[in-house]
Amino acid sequence: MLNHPAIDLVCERISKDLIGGAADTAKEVMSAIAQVVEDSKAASLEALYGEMDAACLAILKVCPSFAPPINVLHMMMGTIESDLESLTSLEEAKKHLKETEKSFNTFMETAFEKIATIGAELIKEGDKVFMFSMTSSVWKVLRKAKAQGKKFAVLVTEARPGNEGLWTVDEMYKSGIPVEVSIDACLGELIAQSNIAFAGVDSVAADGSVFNKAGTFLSALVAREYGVPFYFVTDTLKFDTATLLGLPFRSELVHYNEIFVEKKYDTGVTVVGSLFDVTPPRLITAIITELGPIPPSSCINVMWNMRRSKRISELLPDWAHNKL
Amino acid sequence: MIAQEVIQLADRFQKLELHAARGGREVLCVLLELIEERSKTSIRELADEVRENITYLLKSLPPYAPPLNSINQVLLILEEMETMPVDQQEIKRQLVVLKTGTQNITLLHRKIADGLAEILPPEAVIYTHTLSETVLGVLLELYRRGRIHRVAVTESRPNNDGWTTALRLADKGVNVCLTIDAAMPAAIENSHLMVSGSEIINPDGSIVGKIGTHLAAMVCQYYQKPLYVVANSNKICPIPWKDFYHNQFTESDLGIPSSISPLQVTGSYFDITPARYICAYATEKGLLCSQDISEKVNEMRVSRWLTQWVAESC
Repeated sequence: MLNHPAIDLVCERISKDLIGGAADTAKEVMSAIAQVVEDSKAASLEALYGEMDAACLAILKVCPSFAPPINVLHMMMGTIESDLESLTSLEEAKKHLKETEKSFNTFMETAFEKIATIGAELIKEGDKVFMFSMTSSVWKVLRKAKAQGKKFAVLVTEARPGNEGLWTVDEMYKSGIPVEVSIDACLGELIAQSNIAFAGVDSVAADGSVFNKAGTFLSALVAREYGVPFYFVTDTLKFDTATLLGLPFRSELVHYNEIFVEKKYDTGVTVVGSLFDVTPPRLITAIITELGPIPPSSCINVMWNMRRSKRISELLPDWAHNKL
Repeated sequence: MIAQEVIQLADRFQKLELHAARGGREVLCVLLELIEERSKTSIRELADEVRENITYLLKSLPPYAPPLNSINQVLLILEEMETMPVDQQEIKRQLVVLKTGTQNITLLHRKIADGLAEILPPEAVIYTHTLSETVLGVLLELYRRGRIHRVAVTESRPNNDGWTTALRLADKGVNVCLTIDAAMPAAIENSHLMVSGSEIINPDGSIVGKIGTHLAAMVCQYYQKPLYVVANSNKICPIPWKDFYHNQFTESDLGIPSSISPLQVTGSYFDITPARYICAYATEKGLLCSQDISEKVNEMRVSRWLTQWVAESC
């Protein structure tokens, strides 16, 4: 079956890594599926379901290990599955899908403001705030605290191999927030002098563990050692419902040329390691979300309340093992 | 008058071009040359000039025990000679004896490997951070004995000393994996144990090491992997050196141009790993525990002049 051009476009953009991050990918995926629904000439609810199913399958085939676009697929497919079960009319179902899209867009517009407000309350006057790597959600928290008139300084490490920590330096500089930078091996020294630590999130698992850029686990471990509270900051769209099925996080490996930049050695040294790591729940103080600060043990409750699609859940094991 | 060789050596220390063990040998050579070249009218005059040169060296010395111990030994000889009627030839003779005692590095590595071999599991997978001449020598010796399956190394920013370790081991045929510092938890989790070099073993058993060593030790504790400090006993330092290490990063250490000026770069080249993280110290005198270190320190003599200098500089 031929897919809608909007689906082809979003698949191409995901494949070529042309979309900024997980949240933007989710927005584009939602927009493409909503377009499929809007343009559909299907004569029955089953036929519309078939078109959406084909679209979701095409997206899953190219979708990286981001929870947000997967959750978008859950939202839309879960909506139509619910209508199929309750024998809703085609028009009514389309209306429900439109409402789901609208509700998603409202969520995207408002969640970060709530998160920023909740996170900023944790920052006190005169604090030294450690932040690992870069993430716009933590930047928003820091800017909010600054807008509240609080004076604090940010400490960050470079976050090899991509050096995203230096993006944070740029952003803090633009925002007028004092910032100091060091190498990753020095995060012990930085965290020891901090009052609070933040990191962003790639995915949150059902058991409350967090998947994020390599070095996050190390930061959380050091924070515990020095008694510094360690918070993750994210919206619940990054709660990875695939982990409810017992599926693991999918990670990318560090490549040879990411370490030996512009140097060619032929010595038998194997470059190993993952670009991401998993921070266990016991090292996490809380996950700051739009719902409030959530202890890791409560993440599973949040996930059970999220809309999940039976069809997407069926496809995820093959997706997780690259068998789609 | 400060000797040209001393100025050059101080400059190399300042640029961190010399590692601890080699630094100890170089200090001894330079001081020996200095004493050999001078023919002062009295031992007091000679001692004053040597102290003047040592003061210059100390000011640029990173937190390395071997050069400090070499300095201490030279000063002790001078202090002893000042109190008894001997000629300068006797001083030179004693210094030559001192220098000869530091030469057989291969034998030293073998002795350390003997102790470590006793506790290694079969087909050992060993993690190490950064570069240490002693760790490298001992790992190669253990590999020669067929005791090592694989070595995992972290790159050890900012000067990527871990690359040197990885490349030198691989060059000798060792199966080596290299990863970024931030990925050290996975490297440690998949290893049987960690071996670490040290710049200084303090009297309380804590060690001064390249930045990141303390982090690795925390990870070892988390995964319940033993950490062995592999070092020549001349790394044991009776002087409270840790109070005045001062090597701070600069913008060039990040190695990436930034549009922000001035960029506030923070952090030190070295960190301190408390003794509670360390399982044992593999030295040429066997496997030692932290209490053994304290006992060794109690047996060591420290120059009066050096004690005073350190007290005044802290």
